[in-house]
Amino acid sequence: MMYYIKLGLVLLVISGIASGILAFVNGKTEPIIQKNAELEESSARMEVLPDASQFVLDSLAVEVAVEEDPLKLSAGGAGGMFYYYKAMDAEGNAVGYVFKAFGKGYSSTVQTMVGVKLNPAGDFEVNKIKITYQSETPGLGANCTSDNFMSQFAGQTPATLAVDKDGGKVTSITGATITSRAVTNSIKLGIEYLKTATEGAQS
Amino acid sequence: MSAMKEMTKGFIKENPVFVMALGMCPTLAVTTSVANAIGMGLAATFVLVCSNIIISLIKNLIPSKIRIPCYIVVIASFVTIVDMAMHAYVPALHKSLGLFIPLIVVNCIILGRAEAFASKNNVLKSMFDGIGMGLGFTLALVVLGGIREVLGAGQFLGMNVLTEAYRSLPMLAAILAPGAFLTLGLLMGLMEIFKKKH
Repeated sequence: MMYYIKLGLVLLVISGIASGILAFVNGKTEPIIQKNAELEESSARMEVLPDASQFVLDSLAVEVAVEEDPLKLSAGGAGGMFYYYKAMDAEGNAVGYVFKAFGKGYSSTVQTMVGVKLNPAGDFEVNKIKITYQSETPGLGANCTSDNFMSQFAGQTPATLAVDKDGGKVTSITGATITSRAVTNSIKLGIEYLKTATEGAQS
Repeated sequence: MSAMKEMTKGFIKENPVFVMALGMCPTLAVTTSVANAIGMGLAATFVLVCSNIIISLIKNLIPSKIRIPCYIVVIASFVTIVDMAMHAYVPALHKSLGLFIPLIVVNCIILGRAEAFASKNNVLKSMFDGIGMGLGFTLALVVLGGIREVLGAGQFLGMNVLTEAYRSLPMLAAILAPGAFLTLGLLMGLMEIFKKKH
């Protein structure tokens, strides 16, 4: 009987020491990890809308069923909120909007930072996009991070935002139509939400 | 000099991947590029050396009945430290290795060396065994990753080594899962031929 208690005690001591060390390391690294993530987000925002120098977070409540939630709005406790940033230059003039699009790809949810501005016709136009997260098939869907694919979104309006197979102007990646479609459609949906959000503010 | 021998045996003679066929899961999964292979190999080496040292130090304090859970706690702690440190200081590498870092815990090379070597030998020998086995593992991953990256993407360490024409239409299978099995199988076969000749 004593022997088994001793076994448990030894394991307890070892686990206790291990968790103490881990708590210490976690305390050291946690702030750096958080700062890295924020830095990455803000540099991605600057990259897709280089004209802007300040970003103001805003949100729009969107009613979406969880299972039909391509933007994953209900994920992360956001509860059906569409978050976007109003982008302004140094003098405070509005230059556009930035939002993050989530599209269900082949093997992951592709996250895209999208910079949008108003074109002279008063329509939303994509300025630049940047894929910030994906884990699609290497050599196929993972090519969505290549400049060839990302640069063709510049200047697209919702009317042309669809992959070529669906009659749009986005040339999909060879062998990765699902990924291309996920990126394209998530951007399009994001712009539609953005339209609703800004129209609501204006009227 | 025996310490030296403990180290070099892991490179070829007792190479954990090619000879002992340990740690197949990370070997097959992360060798899509040389950079991934080096990152995974070095992370595993760090964990292997640290856990070998600690286990060798506490081997007499641990009752043999609960030695495996104790080893796992030690190994898991070091893996978590590596995971957090990489996430904080090399986020790009952490991103591409992703899921495989926590999986070092169940990499059987590490538990295997703890059980087969560190629990029976002194600290110094265990440390060199860890370094040797870790570098042997890294070497194997780099060879595999190199072959797969060159064939599958026409690149080596992200630099273009094959012609533009090849890179636009590479041998994709090499970088996908089947390529991992084929390359590993062929390399193991070559090792056997090499060993028979000597």
